[in-house]
Amino acid sequence: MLHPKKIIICLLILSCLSARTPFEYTIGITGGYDNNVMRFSLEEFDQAAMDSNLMGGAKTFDSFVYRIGVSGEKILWKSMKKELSINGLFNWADYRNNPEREYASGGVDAIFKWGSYQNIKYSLRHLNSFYLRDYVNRDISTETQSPCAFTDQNQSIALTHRISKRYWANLGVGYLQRYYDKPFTEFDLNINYVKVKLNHRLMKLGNISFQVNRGRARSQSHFLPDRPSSFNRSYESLEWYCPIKVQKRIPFLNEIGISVRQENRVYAAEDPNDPLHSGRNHVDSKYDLWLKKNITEHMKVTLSGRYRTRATESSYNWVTDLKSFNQLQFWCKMELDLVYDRY
Amino acid sequence: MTDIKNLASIPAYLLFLYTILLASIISGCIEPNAEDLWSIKVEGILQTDGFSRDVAIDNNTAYVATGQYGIQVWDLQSQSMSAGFTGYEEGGAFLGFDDPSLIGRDEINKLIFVSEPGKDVKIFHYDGGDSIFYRNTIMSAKTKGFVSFPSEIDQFIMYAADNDDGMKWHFYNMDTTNIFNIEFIEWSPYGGSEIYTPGKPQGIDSDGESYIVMAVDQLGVELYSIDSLGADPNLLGRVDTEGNGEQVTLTSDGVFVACDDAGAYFIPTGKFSGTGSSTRFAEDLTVDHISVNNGIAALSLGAKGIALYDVTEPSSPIEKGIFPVGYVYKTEFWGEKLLVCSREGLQILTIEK
Repeated sequence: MLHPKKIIICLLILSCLSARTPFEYTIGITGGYDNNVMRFSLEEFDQAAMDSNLMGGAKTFDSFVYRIGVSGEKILWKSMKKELSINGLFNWADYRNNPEREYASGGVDAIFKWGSYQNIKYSLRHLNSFYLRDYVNRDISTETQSPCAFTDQNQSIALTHRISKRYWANLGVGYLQRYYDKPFTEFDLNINYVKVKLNHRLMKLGNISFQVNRGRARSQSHFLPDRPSSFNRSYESLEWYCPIKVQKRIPFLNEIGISVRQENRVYAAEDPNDPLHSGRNHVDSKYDLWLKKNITEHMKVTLSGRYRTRATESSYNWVTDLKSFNQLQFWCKMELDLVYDRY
Repeated sequence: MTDIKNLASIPAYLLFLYTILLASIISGCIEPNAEDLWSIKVEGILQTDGFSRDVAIDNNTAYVATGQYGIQVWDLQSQSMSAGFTGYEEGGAFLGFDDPSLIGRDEINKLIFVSEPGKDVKIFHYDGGDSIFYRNTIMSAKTKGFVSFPSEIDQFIMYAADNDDGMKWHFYNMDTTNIFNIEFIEWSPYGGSEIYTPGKPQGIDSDGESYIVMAVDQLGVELYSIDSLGADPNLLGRVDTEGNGEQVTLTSDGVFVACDDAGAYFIPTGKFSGTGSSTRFAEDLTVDHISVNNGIAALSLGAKGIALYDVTEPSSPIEKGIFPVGYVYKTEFWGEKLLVCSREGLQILTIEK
């Protein structure tokens, strides 16, 4: 679903912009490790040991990861404190030990600023054919496994405004289309969300933020006429996110950050024929730590780690066991900031 | 070419809106992928009091073996029950049905054939009123399936899969006798025979013209040819299948076989005489019965409902979806609609391609 024509049109339009401002861009290379690529539960680790079909094409549960990314920023218009800029980014990732999970993602932002911490931003993000794992295609079989992948297109608009000298806030709304590749289209979701974030600058230290994200995912697959697996996968979610960044008074490093993100999701399904979703909810928690060091003026290195745990509740014990998992990820990212300025 | 001066002459907020508009036009909203599956629509569920085990259709009338209730007659167009019978009178005594699981209809002779698990076939006269009249019992115990054809008025021919005897077939003629001014009507066997098979017959089907096919459990499927209705069947061959051959459906191209937990087979007619090859499909499903009409195969899966296959090219069936419509025993096509015999009742489905 990544349309080459659209990308070419974007590039052509951007290449026509001969604005007399520099074009700043960053090249990033990331290496990493994921200990549970397919998000297996403890029970599934045991099952996969006996049934290799669960693993798809993978040989191991974990994988090394390589990612190459390019991002750029171009100011199109500037007058006093007002400024209009466009950002773009593109990433390509490859999981060395899980060949199915090779994916591309990218996005564009348009930002209009009229002062510090005062701006409005339109974002478009595209995640192309992200492989999850192999699942049984229950449309046509009770055993046959097929690769399950989805594509995301996320559009959002966010307003940032200063509240006081040390506080500023972001308010955003978004529309995420999560459409699955064949043969799992019954899981397609349209997700609307509202996001509020309050930021506080810590004196001579860094900043802390608190974000709440309320979302509603609507499933289309349960409407008549009945199709195989015509179940309702709609859900409501409430997520909070709290990052703390320390950027001053730290030796050697330029930034240390920690964050906690927790999503509470409640599925709307009540169909007893769909025990996998009926009456299910989960708490998905992510704990992040990162260390950033500027090697030179234009080069920086970021080491990061994430522990993720999902606790699922369901009236069916087997669903609880199946959908709960733990995951550990480590990343090392090197970024090189460059400027193209020949005006 | 647009440059910074031209852009600067545009108000910033308009430029921002243009940018959003441009991005939206270029990106748009992505379209969902479409899967090539079929849909079903439940037109109605006829609430048979017992489980709906089997159905025989004559025009718009369904004769339903409703398990421990007995038998029921439904008008399919109005979806209303015309008559229901929990038992019958024999020799002045009322006898209740135990658990009818097989039913057939002979419209010319106004007969209903009923069989209960492990038993023989009972004949009833039914001409559309509120009563059924027991005539007599034919075939023998352990009849697993039967198929009948009216050969003329007051005569029919029946082929039965007898689990312990093989294939039985006979003409049946109506005999009327008067004893003490009481009229006794019976259907007496005439001609026919019993054909031994080393297998254990489970199901039978015939086109009434050229072939009779019989599922013989672990030994697979046997195909018999007949020169015409009533001629001696001639064994063409036996094809072994994985699992147990349980139910068979004869089509103009060959035979569809339900093989329980080994899935299903399509066996072209030529395979029984050594040419062609059979196709196994629905391997991971437990298939109890298959009905075929106009390129659609409906597989009965017991607790998992039904599975639909596109069998326009019967040697390459294409899966079109599993539909959990309840516990399904068998299906039968009523024109373009599908009647589903299930524990929930007799369901009328429309298949949307």
